[in-house]
Amino acid sequence: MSRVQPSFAVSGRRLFVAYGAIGFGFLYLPIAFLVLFSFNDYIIPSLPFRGFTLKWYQELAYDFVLHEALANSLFIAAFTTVISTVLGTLAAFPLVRCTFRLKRSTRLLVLLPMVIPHFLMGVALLLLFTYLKLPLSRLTIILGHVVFTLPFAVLIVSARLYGFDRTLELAASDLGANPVRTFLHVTFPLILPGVVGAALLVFTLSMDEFMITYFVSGQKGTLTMYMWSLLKDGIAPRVNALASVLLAGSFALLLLGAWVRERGANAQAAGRGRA
Amino acid sequence: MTGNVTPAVELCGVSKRFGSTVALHHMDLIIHKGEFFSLLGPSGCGKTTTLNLIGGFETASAGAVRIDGQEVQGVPPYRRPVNTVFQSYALFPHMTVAENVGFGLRMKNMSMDLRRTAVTEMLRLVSLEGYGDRRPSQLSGGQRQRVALARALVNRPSVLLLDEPLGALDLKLRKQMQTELTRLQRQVGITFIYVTHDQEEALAMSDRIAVMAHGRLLQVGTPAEIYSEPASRGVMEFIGSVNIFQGTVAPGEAGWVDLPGLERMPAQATNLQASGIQVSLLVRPEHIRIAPSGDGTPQRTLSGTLVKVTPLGFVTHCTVRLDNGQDVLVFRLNSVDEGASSLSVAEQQRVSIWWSSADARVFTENAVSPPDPSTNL
Repeated sequence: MSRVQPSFAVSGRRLFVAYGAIGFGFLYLPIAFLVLFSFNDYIIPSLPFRGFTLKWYQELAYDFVLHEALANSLFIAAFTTVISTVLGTLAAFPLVRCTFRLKRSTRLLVLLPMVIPHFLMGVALLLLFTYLKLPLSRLTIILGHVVFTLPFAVLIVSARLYGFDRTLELAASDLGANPVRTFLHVTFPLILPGVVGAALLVFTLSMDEFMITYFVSGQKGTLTMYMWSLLKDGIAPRVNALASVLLAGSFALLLLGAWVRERGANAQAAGRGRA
Repeated sequence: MTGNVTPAVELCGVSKRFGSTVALHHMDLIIHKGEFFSLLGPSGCGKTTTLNLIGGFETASAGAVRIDGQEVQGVPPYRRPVNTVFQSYALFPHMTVAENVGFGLRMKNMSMDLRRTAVTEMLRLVSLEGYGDRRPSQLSGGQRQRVALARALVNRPSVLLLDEPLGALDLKLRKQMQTELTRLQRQVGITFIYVTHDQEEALAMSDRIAVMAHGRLLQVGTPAEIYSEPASRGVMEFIGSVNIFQGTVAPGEAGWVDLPGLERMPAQATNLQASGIQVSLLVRPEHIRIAPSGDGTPQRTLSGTLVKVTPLGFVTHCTVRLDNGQDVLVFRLNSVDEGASSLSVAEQQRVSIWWSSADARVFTENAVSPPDPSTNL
């Protein structure tokens, strides 16, 4: 094949590369500055860079309010993850495998919370909890987080179920496995990458959520709430450090989730292939 | 032959409907113990449905299915003494070969040590020693096929169901696996029920064959019976190639059929009851003799022009256009005695064709044609 290309194609290519670079810059430059200033040895996060320091990170270690907020966030995220992943997996099965009336509408309704603004959802949940006379606590935060993370869990596990070769379940049954053992030994191990991926995403979403939490949290502050309170008195360098830590954690979890899903998908595809 | 021995599988008046479509019409079938039994028919003939009824993946709409004399209506697949080799193999991708093969024994709660011994032995039987730690994704198609076979056989089922297991393999491997499957079946002595649309495969491997079409059994018999004594025109058309002539039974002369516009030709007398009735005369291409016209041919022959000669190695396919325009397919074996006489298509050679009465079968009923007759080569 000839690799000679007309010159206008080359310049067009350069244009696209530049366009892409600007796009990524727009997305990631603010984050890069945030991380950069978390190492800046000056009380006001602004240029020029005055020198490298880890003292903002050290400050985090002595901030007891922060520790309590972190504990709250982890507690809430953990429960949200378990509840959303279990419910999401359970919901994915009928939504993918069964045929029933209004299936499409049901599916749509399950996934709809993904596009409802968190501000509206927060207000709505607050109204509901007030009406139910449910005191605002970690419980209400968890409920709020389950509402907005559930669709993500359903979506990810569904994707896994769509690619599932059900002959494998027939084979298990044929080999003497009752429905429970078929699920334990065949179905669940094969959708596990999807379930783990869903859990990691839900955990990340819950840790980083602010808007809904703001409405339904009451006295119990989460990490994001605490950061918000710090920002009220101007941008403290500590916030930069904390945000950088959170960012690193979120990225790590998301990458891990994607990796697990990818690996599982490859194994599934390879196992099904014919000669 | 088998007398009062309990059959491996027995279907009594089994019907299966899917909504308004009928997949099986009142089927009666007995499959003996230790038999290599094939269900043969075109796609949609109900052969896979029959297999699913035995395996427990479908429930009969009417009638009874018995395995080892036990009625299995309502018994789920995991409680039936049968195992299946699926067309797609359905190997568990998250397990090793050994785990796949040992799965059935694990479900029977067999101890790990016994399991390991049984799995190793079974892998040796299918020539996959030392492959136990591999994943299905690391195996070739033929190897996966063998794992699927081992995974089913290790459970020592009363009956092994095979759903077109060689369909995904290439021709050479398929031939090899055919031999291997028959060898294995003899070795383990388990009843095999083999579903295929490939007549050659069924003829080569089976002790008995059930030919099916449109949810009905057309004929059950040994490969030789099915081939040389087809019970109906449908069976004869489906198995092998066949030439069909329309004619009427000759008056007064038993064993002869008048082919309009052609000659009076011999046919099997047993099928001819009343003279003058419309019949179809079916002759297989390999039963037709061919020679250049006027070259010491018998008295009654059909004459025509040689229009096509296709040499296919040991056999040559000749197409003869009869004087009424009908094309007839003739197979000639390229053996020492026949290869010498020269037939050439180039000069539109005039030829005579004829057959002996034993090779021409007469049917009065309408054909139950398979959907695609072009596959019958």
